[in-house]
Amino acid sequence: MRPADNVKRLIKNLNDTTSAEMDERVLGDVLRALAESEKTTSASTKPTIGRIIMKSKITRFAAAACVVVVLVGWWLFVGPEMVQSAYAELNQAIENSTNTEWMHHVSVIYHRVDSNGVSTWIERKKKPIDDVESWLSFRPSKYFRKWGDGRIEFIDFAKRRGYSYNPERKIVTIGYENASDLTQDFDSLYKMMQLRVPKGDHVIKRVEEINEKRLTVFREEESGEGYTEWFVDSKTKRVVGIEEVDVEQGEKRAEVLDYPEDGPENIYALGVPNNATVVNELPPREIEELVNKARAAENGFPQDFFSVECKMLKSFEGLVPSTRNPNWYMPFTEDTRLYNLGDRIAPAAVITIVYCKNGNCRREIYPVWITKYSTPEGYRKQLKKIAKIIPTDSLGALETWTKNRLPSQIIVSIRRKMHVFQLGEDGTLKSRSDPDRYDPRDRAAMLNINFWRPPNNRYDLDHYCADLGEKPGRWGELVGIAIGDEQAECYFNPVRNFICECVLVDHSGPVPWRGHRRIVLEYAKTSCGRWYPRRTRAVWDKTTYLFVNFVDDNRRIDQKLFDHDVISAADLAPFAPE
Amino acid sequence: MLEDKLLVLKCRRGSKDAMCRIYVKYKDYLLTLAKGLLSEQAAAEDVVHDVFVRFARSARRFQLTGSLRGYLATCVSNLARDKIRARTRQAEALDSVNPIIPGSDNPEQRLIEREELTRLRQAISQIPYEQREAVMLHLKGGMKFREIAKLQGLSVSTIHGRYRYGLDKLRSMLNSEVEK
Repeated sequence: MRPADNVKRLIKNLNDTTSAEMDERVLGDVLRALAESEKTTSASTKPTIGRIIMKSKITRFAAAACVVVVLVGWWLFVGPEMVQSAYAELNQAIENSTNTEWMHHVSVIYHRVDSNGVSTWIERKKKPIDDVESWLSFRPSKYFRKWGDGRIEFIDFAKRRGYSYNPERKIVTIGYENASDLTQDFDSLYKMMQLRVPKGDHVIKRVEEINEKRLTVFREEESGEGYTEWFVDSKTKRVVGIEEVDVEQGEKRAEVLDYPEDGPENIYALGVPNNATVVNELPPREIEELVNKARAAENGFPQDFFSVECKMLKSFEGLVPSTRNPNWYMPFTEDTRLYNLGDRIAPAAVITIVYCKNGNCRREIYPVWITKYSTPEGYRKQLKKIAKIIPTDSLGALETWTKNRLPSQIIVSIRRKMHVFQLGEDGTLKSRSDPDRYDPRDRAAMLNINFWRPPNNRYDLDHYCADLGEKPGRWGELVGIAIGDEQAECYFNPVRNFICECVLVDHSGPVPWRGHRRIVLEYAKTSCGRWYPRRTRAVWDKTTYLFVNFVDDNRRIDQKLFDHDVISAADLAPFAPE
Repeated sequence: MLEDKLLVLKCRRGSKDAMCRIYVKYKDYLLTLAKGLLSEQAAAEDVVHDVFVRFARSARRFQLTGSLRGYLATCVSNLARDKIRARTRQAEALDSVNPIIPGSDNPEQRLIEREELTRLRQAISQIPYEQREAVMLHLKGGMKFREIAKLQGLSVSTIHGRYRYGLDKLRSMLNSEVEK
């Protein structure tokens, strides 16, 4: 190992733990501070949307990104669930807004003082950054942002490329943009929206005339914390303004939107001087070619197919996945049982039947639960028992296994709309829009990124590729790609056009070496001759998962399967917490 | 990330349990980071204490826009910088507290690794603070150069340069020990 690598490894392995005394002292003070904060309130603020609609030319990036995602998220997820007429009307306005070619967006955020007492870079630089204007193209997906201080950014989602201009140094930097981060942000914001806007919350509608424009205003109260007002043009039925007021925090955010027929073509159209120096941070050509080749192979996967996926917990090392968030591991204790809703400790296996046709998708989910709390040893025994009853040898065997059972959930995705069905605790059919139910592929599909093909959620090429190496592997010579800021290494098989082994390092945990995850993929061929990862073994925090995929891309899929109106309670297994 | 957002939301509603979870989740990570920046156990503990207390005070109004880990790391970095500025002496004696070594059951190996890490800590404390910050935030904090650049209001290339210089210095200081 090179000395630099050794130093890096040593630094990454540095780990200090807090003492019990420190924990006691800090937690005591923290909880006291939390209790005291309850007494603190801040001044309310006053809406100014009319003035902004008329005069404003400035925006702020965070709010700009937020509103676009929030708009789409609101429409995609919350929208169909709305039952009140005002909600329905607002929902329709949001849908109308996203069915445009371009959205031009201007936003103003009223700076709050950083109440955490920790100065931010913005404050230190004494340079407010709230002057931002943005343009978003829905089809094809492009996003331009222009700050008041001269910085300009452009993200081309289709090419996964980002361009940014630094006016101080007169430099344009070109690099890869990580689409998976975007979907993650999208997901988080959606979740926030879900929590912020409880279903059935009251929406009050009124009509106002601002600057000789007739606007319908939808006001949604947030139980004393603040409110959001949506301004909809009565003629075009599109959202032209949003104002969010956080009474408690004394913060106010206002957005103004319009819908031009055309937008900027490139970063230079927004004022970047032609003589600006261009710094190309794209990977070297051989790596880019490799990535493009892999992506082309990925894109070549059939659009219509039937598949069976089985995710199985193979080993247990003291941590169990949370039933509420399968990526969240918890120590196996009595508390785990309480947290995980009663006797269903964790799903030991999840079998998913996938039907995809013409861009529509239906998934039927069959979880197998470990149902009794016991000792860790007892838990291991149950795992072994469950592993024996699930046949993972062939598509036919797994399909037969599912045919003798009812799914706990059916998820039908038609274009960008999701329909999630499950039985409620009272035995009645529930159509849900709980974000926990959504798989990353669903969210990606909503951003018009097609990840439906079954093997493709096993890895992600949307990272900056920095290094190239070679390694002998079980599949022959493999080409190594270090991905994402030295956090992952993937081995690409040039013969089969797929990554077949990944080592990912997750820095999010408090103990870095716990986050190491190893993924090994084995391949099979579909009836159409496509290679796909048939068997994937993933080790996360010493817990081993086995993924088995079978793909049949030659099967006739009945269009009726995507008719969500015919799904009834009889199609589903009794309520199970997941 | 999602889990953090939920915890933050719960904190906003005054959940002590959520606050404790955040503390338990990030305490060691932040302490390691703070100690890497300050090279002193007591000062690092103070910084972690202050970060969590300030976070708790503002929790009800706090809005998470990026990652909580990144936010807390930023807070640690800012407070550590303030502490460094306040210090009359730049380099202080290393704490006698032994670092914890992961994943080694062999006592002899543990001793070697402990010595190795002690040398590393000494070396880290000797490189300029700016370089130390870039190295620690990137390698230990898991922050991208772009994020560090934003935090400090500098260009990515400057941060990358500091990181490289810092790493080179560390390497040369530790050369005889690590180049085995």
